[in-house]
Amino acid sequence: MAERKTLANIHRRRCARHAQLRPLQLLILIAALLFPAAVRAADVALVPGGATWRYKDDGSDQGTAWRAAAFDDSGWLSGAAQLGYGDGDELTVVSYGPDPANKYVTTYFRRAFNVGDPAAFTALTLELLRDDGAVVYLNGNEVWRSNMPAGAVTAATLAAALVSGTAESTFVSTALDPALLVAGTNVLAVEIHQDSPGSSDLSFDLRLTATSDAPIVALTRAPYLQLGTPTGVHVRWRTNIATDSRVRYGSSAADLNLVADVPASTTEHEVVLSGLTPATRYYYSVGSTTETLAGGDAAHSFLTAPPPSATGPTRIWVLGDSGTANSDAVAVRNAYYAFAGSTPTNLWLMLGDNAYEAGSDADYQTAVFDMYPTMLEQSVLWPTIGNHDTAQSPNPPASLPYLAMFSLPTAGEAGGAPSGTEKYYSFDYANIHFVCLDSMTSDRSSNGAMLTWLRSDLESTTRKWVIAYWHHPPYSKGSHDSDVDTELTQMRTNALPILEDYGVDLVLSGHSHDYERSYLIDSHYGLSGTFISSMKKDGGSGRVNETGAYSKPTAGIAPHEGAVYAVAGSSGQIASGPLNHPAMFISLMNLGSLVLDVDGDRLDVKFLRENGVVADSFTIIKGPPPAPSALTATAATATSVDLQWTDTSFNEEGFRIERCTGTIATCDGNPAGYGLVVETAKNATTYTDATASGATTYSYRVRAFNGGGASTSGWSNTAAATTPQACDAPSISVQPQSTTIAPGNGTTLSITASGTAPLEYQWFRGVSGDLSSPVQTATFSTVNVAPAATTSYWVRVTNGCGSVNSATATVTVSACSYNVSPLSFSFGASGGFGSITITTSPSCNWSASFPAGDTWISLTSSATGSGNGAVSFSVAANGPAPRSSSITVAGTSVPISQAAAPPGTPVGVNARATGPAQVTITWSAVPGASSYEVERRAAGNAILTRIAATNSFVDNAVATGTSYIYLVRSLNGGGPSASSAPDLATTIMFTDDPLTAGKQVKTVHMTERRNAVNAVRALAGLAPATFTGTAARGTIVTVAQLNELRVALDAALSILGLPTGGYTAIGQGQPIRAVHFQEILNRVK
Amino acid sequence: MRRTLILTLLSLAVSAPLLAHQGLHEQIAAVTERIRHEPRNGALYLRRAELYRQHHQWRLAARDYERAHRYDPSLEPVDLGKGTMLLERGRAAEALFPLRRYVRAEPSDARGHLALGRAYAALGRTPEAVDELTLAVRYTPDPDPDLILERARVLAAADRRDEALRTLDEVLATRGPLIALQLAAIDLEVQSRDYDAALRRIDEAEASSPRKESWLARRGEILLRAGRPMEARAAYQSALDAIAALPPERRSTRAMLELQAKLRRALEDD
Repeated sequence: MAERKTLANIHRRRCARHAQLRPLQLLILIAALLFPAAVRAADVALVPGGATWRYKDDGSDQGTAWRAAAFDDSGWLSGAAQLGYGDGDELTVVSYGPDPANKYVTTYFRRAFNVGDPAAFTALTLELLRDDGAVVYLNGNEVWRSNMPAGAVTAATLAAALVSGTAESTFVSTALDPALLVAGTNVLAVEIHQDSPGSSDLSFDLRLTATSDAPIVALTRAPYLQLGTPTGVHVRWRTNIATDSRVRYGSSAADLNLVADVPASTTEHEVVLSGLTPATRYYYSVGSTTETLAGGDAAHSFLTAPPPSATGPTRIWVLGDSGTANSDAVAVRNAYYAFAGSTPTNLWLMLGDNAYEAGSDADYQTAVFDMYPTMLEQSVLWPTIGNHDTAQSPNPPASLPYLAMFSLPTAGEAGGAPSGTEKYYSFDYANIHFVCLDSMTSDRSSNGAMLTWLRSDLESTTRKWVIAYWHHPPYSKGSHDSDVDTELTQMRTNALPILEDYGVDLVLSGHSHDYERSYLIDSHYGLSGTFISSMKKDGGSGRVNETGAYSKPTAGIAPHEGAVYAVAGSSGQIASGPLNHPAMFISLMNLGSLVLDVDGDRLDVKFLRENGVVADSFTIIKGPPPAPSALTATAATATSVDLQWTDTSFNEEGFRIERCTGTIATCDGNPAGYGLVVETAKNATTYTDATASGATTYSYRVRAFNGGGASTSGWSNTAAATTPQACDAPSISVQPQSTTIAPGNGTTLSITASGTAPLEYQWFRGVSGDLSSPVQTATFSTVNVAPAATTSYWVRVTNGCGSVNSATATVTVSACSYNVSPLSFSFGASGGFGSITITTSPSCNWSASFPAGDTWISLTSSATGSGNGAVSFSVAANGPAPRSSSITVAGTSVPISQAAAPPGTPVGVNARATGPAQVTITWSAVPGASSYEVERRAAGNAILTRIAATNSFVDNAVATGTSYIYLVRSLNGGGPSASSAPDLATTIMFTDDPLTAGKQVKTVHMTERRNAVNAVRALAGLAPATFTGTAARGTIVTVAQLNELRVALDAALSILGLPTGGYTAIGQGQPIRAVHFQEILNRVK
Repeated sequence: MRRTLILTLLSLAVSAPLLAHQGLHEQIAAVTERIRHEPRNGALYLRRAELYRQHHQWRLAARDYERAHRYDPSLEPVDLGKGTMLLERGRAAEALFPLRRYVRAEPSDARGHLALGRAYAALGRTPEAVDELTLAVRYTPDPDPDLILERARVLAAADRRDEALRTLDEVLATRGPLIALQLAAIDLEVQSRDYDAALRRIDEAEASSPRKESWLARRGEILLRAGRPMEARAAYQSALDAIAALPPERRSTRAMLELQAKLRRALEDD
């Protein structure tokens, strides 16, 4: 709704500018008041440019009747000039028909206008904008044609020439005779002709100006609307010269067919229009009975208030402390105009300090009438008094400009109780009761006239909403402190208890030059420090998409359900303050105004900043929430029913769900059968009733509630569902068990489940829940499996009620095991063969190996195999040292040891007595022998063995005079060798007179020999030999005796296995020599 | 009057563009700055004096009133301001002189008569108070109910209840059923023991009022005072019945709950 720069507006401003009340101009006005004759004549726009015309653009031939003043053009279209098409500058685009190449040649226009006294005019000027040609008729008579051929003109007549270029927007003019005018209604009729059917454009506008020498009446204050009701409104304006007052009005700007007059001559005009139709748009013009000064266009129109029962949308604009008349006020205004767009403002409020500094008439002209002319002429303003409106005086004069310029109810004319004063009043608009209080000049005491009236007024109202406003805010920590300032404190302590007791919804104030907006609060009448949390009826933001709208349970007015308090004193300026009142939800140091939208049970408030940003908003919703809709009920299982509905409300605290057992028809016929199921939280749209029984039909209904349940919506539709027969879903009592199997083996998995029969089983490979690998044909409670590798299995059990998955059972296939036997081998030095048996599963492979360097071992069978088998090997004969190795079969190491070969038989065994009781045996060392075993045989076959580490042994365990046989065996790891040849040793010590060669054998020699032989004979187990002869001294040893020795000895030696004979032959009679006895000695040693 | 209007307009014309859109402090500062440039402009001193008075800075206000008078003795509103200030300070006797001077100079300015009437009332000089308040009403085209009531109270204090009632009735007759005036009239009639008149008034008000209970309760009180207890009880009961018939949200206001309790007590006491 910008201030349109139409010609009409420009003309109005030109008139208004004649008395622009800046100080200098104020002086001029004063001079004019003192010396009224100073104003002289001027032109009167009988038809201004940009006026609204009736038009006919259907290509019809209207003949001639249309030119007459009395022609009925009510069926024609209507639009404001400039009219036409094709140039882009038309305010009203008319039609040229369906074929752009063959446009309508003629378009017709008509306009009626009123002339009071034609005789007052000395000149009449017609100015015409035409493209291409035109013929003008005044009151049925042709008064002018422009760019048209002479002669008769029909609908087909083309214009004389093309109009193009600047001529398309240039007015051509002619003078007319003022006598052509008649007193009363005059009609201009104009036909515009194209120069060709293919013309690209059409343009039409017209100005008819009359000149008069009489003093010209001008508007010094444009029309503004006051005291609107469903059936009436006050139209006020001011002129420079006193005249009577006339308002023309009607349902069309081009047809203001109704008139309201006030005959008294005045400059302060006020005409009451009554008998109007509610919620109807009326167009109007203002002036006198002789001329129209303004109006007759779309801008001068208003919408009457709707009937009391109306609940439709109402838009209210609220300004506070807007009277600065500066760029800030302009910005706030323009922001609202842009915001509102084409949405009409049904009414607007001013919260005081409407015109700085002192609320003088001049201040108001500048700050209100010059600032908001468009709003003033289209929407009723309802102001309140601020301190600056009375120049700070609590006792202003009765001539206070505020009281003079506004028409406000005193007798309840607009609804409400009569107040008897314009300083405070009330009015109704649709379902809203507005209360305006005077916090500046009236008695603010509880039993004063104003608050006594307030009680009576609020008692009487039947509207749904109560919005109260006054200048001094009850709560503020802005540029004014409600804890300190008297007016603020008194309004809070005296007025609020009454307002809240009667259910006020919204309280608006200014005075502090900021924006502060409270929570939904109640019963806070003390200082700010006494505000406590319980005074918040709702401590949220009040925003629908945040904590939710403020909800008041009662649809109409109810006490102490909470109110929102807003300080909106920043419509013209901002001033600093702490902005920390605890009752406030938000406090802003921003310019702005309030936009209220009331629609039925909902009030939306926005704080619109000067830059177009909505810096705050909140919503109040009254009454029970609307009923939820589209309820559906679906039986999910035998014991549960899923409910779903549509949440249609913004202010519910929750939803109540009720259930009835039975069909919808049954339950609806017996509402008492419904019982509570649950109360959900707000914004819920689903619920599952898990308390149902199987095979049962249930009906459900839902409703929203708030006010702690005290306020409820209607019921939703009823929805029913029938649960299926109950059954027990499958459950598993024994899960399949994991197990381990040997490779190549199988196992059986099983499960125990219960539930309503029949139960179906399906086994799967994988972890529980993985359906990708079913075990085909595994559809029983047991399954035989023989996996080659470790595999998991699970089973799903299903019945008509549901299904259940088992746990995962893992069949682990173990690794191959081998049994090897024997686990060791020992071989003698000669070697041999061995065999190792392998016992294992048939599929288990094995192999055998031994260290490569151990060549004395050879496999004689295959080194690999599978399943049971055997590995054979041979061990070669060993050498002199023991050795060992191992053969690894199926991973088992089987040690193999081999003894060394035994050593050779000792040779050269020589046993000799080396003492009376000592025999020393020596022999040749045997390679590879680690030791020797000396065996001594004594008489009686007593055997004694001793170990000799080296190749000699001294036997000290002999008896004197005894013969022994000695054998020697060599020893090593291979065992003992064979025994050596025996050797005899006798411990008879022979004289130390040894019988040497050449030496005579003595008796001793013989005795010794004989004893030795008998020792030998004893060893051999023979009786001692008896020897002949003695061996007395000096006896010659005979050969016989020698032979006796020899025979006796040999006999023993033979038994002993010792060599015999081999004696040196000696015949009889030969001398016995030493050698002969040495031989004996040698044998018996 | 015309001269006063012109001078007032002149002063506003001078001051309007000079003063920013500010609070009292800022306005005082702005006027002070202007005075610095025009130290002999009586209108400016008058303006500042009024601002000081609004701010209860009496000494400064008094000083500026004096200066305003000194520099422009023709500024009659100085006397009004001075007198009003003295009255506000509780110095009614001192207020008489400037206020009388003002009403002599501006006899048709209701504010002067109102202030003078209040001064007389504060001094107990009721007849003079009545006269001045009567003039205040006369010179106020559409006197507020506050003014009507103030005059009626002063008249009643002067034992001129009949006249007070007439005043109230005149206004009620022309401007409709203004509740504060109706109640004041009833009180006057009760004080005058003209119970029947009070009851008639109540009946008329109750008949045309959408809400009956308060009127019925008052009726009961008056009947009781009139020595008509049975009728009083009936009225009390009717009031309770009217409350009971209200919708719950109307019935549950604190005012109605208190009235209910009061009516029940009254019935119990009787």
